[in-house]
Amino acid sequence: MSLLLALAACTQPNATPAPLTLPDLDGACVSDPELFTDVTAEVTAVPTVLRVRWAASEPVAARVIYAEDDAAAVLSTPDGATSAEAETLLLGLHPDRPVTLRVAAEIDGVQRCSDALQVRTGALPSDLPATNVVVDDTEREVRGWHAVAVIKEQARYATILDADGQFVWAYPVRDLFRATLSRDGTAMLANGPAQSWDTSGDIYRIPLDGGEPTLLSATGIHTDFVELPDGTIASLGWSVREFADGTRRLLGDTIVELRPDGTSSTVFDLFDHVTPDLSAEYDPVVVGGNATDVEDWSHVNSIAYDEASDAYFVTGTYNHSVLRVDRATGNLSWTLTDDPLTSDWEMRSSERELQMPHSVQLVDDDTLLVFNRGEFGDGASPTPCAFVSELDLDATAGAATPRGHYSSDACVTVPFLGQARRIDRHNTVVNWTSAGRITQVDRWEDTVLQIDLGLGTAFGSGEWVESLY
Amino acid sequence: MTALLLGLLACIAAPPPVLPCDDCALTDANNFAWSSTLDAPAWHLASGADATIAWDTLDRDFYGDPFDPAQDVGRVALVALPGLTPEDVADALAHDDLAQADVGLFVFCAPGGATTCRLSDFELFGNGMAVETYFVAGTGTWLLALLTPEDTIGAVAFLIPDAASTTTSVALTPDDSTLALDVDFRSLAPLAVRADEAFHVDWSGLTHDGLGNDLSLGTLDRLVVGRFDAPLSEVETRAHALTESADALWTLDVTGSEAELASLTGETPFTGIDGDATWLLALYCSSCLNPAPRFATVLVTAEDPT
Repeated sequence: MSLLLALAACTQPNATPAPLTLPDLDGACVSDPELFTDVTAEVTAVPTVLRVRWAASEPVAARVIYAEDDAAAVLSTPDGATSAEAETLLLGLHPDRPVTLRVAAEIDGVQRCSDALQVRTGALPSDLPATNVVVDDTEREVRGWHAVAVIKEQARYATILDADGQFVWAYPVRDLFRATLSRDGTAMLANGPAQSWDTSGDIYRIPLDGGEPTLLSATGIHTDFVELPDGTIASLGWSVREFADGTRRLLGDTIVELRPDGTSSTVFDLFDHVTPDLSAEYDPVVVGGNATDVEDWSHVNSIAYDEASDAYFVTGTYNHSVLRVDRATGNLSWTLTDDPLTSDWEMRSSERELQMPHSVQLVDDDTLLVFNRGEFGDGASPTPCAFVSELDLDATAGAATPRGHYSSDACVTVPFLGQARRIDRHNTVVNWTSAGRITQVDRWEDTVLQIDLGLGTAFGSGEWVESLY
Repeated sequence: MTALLLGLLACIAAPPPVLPCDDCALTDANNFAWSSTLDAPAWHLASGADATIAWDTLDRDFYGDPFDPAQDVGRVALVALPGLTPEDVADALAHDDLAQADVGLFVFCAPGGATTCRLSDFELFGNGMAVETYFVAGTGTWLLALLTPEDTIGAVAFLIPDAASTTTSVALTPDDSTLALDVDFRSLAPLAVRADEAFHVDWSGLTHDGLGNDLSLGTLDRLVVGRFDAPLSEVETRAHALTESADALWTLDVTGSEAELASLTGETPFTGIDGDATWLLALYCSSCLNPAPRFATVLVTAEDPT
């Protein structure tokens, strides 16, 4: 027998698959199979999400601890409500991996858990692009999850990427520009923008187990949205107005609120607050590949919401501006541009800080973080380098002063969308969208994480979250 | 201990017998190795001026295969790569590691059966490219790729807007662009299976593709087994078109990282391999830009030890 074993040891070409090495979760708790009964786990319609159900011999506030084969990290759901039976979803798992799980609860100061259960996740769509993690400084990055749209020519997905740049969730959504987790953590929100100002657009609420999405719809909603604390969705919208005795029709932007009960209303229309410069000609709006007689005037592309001040912030490319809209009144509070003729703030900078801005975030009440695509064509660079501006707002002086300026080491051109988000006190996630790149930069503006997509694939908008629960 | 020593000596004294597998775990050692060299012309064109690109005499693609200039071009891609030289782009294409972030702009022309496109014909989502604004000196290398109706690349050229140039026409001709493949099926560890029996394969242990790049297992979506009535050395020369040159072919759409080969479909049921022909097993990623298989190995027959 020993000889045979030795021979087998040196005969390698066609080894059978090694038995699974499952993580040891025993140390996490005391096994108590009498407490937890009927523990089951199933793969959901999103194959990387597992649904775990259990019954307990007494009501307990239980959670599920779980880990992939050979994974260093043991994950856990939050404690559920006290109950004798419950179910929960396991998130953050990779495709096609064996997973070990236990249901656990603390009783009289002792962690008690079910017997281990082993399940294998399924595969995600094979046409999701491969990701290439170019930089991964785990000591300096803030680890979390990227809920983000992935855009290919033939398909689009709402996805979640883990801190290592690997897909852990995906759901196909036609035409989406943005994917973001709902505030209550139970669903992915994604948009299906209207194709023109007079057609309907949708906001999808997709359960994380891949169940049937619910829809909120409104005419002319487009490009970007944000969820409010009560579940209302505020989306950018379009409106068309006639000028010059009806000889010109201009496309402007609105803010449309879509409430959970299915009703919607326009709460802000830029035409009501800014008079278009009719001495200028604007590019024709293209619908379905065909130019129309409607001129693309304001071209607002992003919306953000600040809960503390109950205000919207949008970025307008028509005059390279950031606009603040008071939600309670629907009034335009102020406009920030580099141009003293149009700005309500004095921009104290020798550089142009706002060039085709495409995202804005209010940080610490008095700082704006702005993603700028840079100005394309018409005397500017054909392939400008996108950059992020950080601007301090001094309300007393009425002045905006640059605090920071970040651009990639190598020039990155972003002709489509673009986004910057401060994720903790110092670190910022920059989504270079159409360049297929997401980076995280630290306080010294060093890149501590860089995820790249290959040629032909891009990111849409999204949001970074620290936890999936 | 004695038996163990004897066993080890047996390893040294003679090659180990190759045992057939039933549940076959594919490893990187089983994978073929390949590299490629892209050679394409660089055309310096007048900066900011419209230009005509013609391929009417292009009767061979960059592999040297027959090519119909009217029927085999579904559309033409033009991609600005601001920070790269033609050599950089050729190298990145050959190594399959061109990143989207390298791209400044990209536009397409749909010739609709014609064999020319003008720069001013290129557009994206209905937005035309203003040549005088965008195709100007200082914007680096523009990759021009003729794409087949299946969206694979048939030929490429590099365009460079140059303030010193007055050229406004480009003529793509056979042999201008070539993609030379160097494929090695003979250095790999063949996968030994029993003759005339289907088997199970598991590729969860693969980490790299045949180019040596990291392999994303989730992108593999098609498994192919081919029989070739030609020696391996000849099959290597047709590596860019393995499926087309196989004498018999069985395919299976796959998800995950394992498959039962009894599920393969072809003109006849797949009942295993024989020792009379050259057999290859390959895994493809149909959504990848590069059409080469990510994994390919040679199948050989072996017998159980008696």
